[in-house]
Amino acid sequence: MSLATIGRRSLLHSQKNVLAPLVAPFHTTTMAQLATPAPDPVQKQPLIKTFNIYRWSPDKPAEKPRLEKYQIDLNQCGPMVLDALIKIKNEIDPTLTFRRSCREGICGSCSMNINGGNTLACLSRIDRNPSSDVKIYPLPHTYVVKDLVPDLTQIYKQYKSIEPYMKQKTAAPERENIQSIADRKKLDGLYECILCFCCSTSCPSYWWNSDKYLGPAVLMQAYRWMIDSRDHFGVERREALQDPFSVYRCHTIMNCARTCPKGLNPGLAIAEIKKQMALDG
Amino acid sequence: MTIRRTGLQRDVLDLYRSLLRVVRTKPESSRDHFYKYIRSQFRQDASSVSQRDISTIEFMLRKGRRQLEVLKSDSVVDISPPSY
Repeated sequence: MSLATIGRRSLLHSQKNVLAPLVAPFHTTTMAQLATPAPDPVQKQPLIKTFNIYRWSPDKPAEKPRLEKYQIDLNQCGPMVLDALIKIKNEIDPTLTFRRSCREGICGSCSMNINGGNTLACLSRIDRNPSSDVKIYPLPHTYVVKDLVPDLTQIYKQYKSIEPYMKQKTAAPERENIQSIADRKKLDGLYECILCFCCSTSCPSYWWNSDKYLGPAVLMQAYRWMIDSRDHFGVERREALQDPFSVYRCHTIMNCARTCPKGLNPGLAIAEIKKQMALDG
Repeated sequence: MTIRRTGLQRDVLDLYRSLLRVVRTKPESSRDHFYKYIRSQFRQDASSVSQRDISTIEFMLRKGRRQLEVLKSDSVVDISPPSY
């Protein structure tokens, strides 16, 4: 006799003891329902959608990059573009390469160019109209490591250069660094950035000057540390950006705010930096 | 008269030169390994790509520069020579 049946029997017994008069009729009907086989789940018509995905492999550097077509039945697939990518990798082409981790818009790994806009694959829904294809490219104006994986070394170097951590002139406090509610509020809209670099790679100004202009993502983080009430190096941080390129290549094109998958506004943060730099004199 | 070279040719030669210069900072016993490795890598890449295929050559240059950064580190003291 299997363990499961023993369990069910003891359960029935206990129910009978507690609700003896009520349970008896219910008991028979449930048993009768269990006996009839469940109806077959409704089979949906396959809804075929074509995905055009950028492919390039460093192992064959002389081969040119190409678009590869994959066909996916949307009724057998999750709702997001990342679900489709994972399905393609699992079932059609295991050589397809892309970064992904949290699949819920928290890690910022799966940023890529989908249908012409930079966004996170895990936050972008697949358009269910099968007449149009989905086009997926790596982030624009980045060197490609493989397929959809961009080389972000340069951006990470720039991020390091703004010293994105708290620096204080006084000795460290014995316990927490206390911050007022109003001061904490200033960080809202800045600290949510997950460094997916959708904004930096969508900025035409950053495309042409990526060696010297820091780009919206990095500048927004620079501003996040400038206005943190617990950080004491705001003036020095602005001093370090005082040259024609680091900040002033921002021409308020505002592609950054339009593309940000988290709904943040790096353009506003850059404007605030410029204002403070002007006030510093 | 000097040989006229394109910018890309100069970049490749610059990379080759800086790689050879890095080898001089390595212990004498292993230098020969480095020289053989670098030379064979360049020969191999040069024979595998057309002169006009600029994007591929630029990719190889980027790869080479990354490798140069690794080789510059003092913790790199030897390299296994290429197997022919």
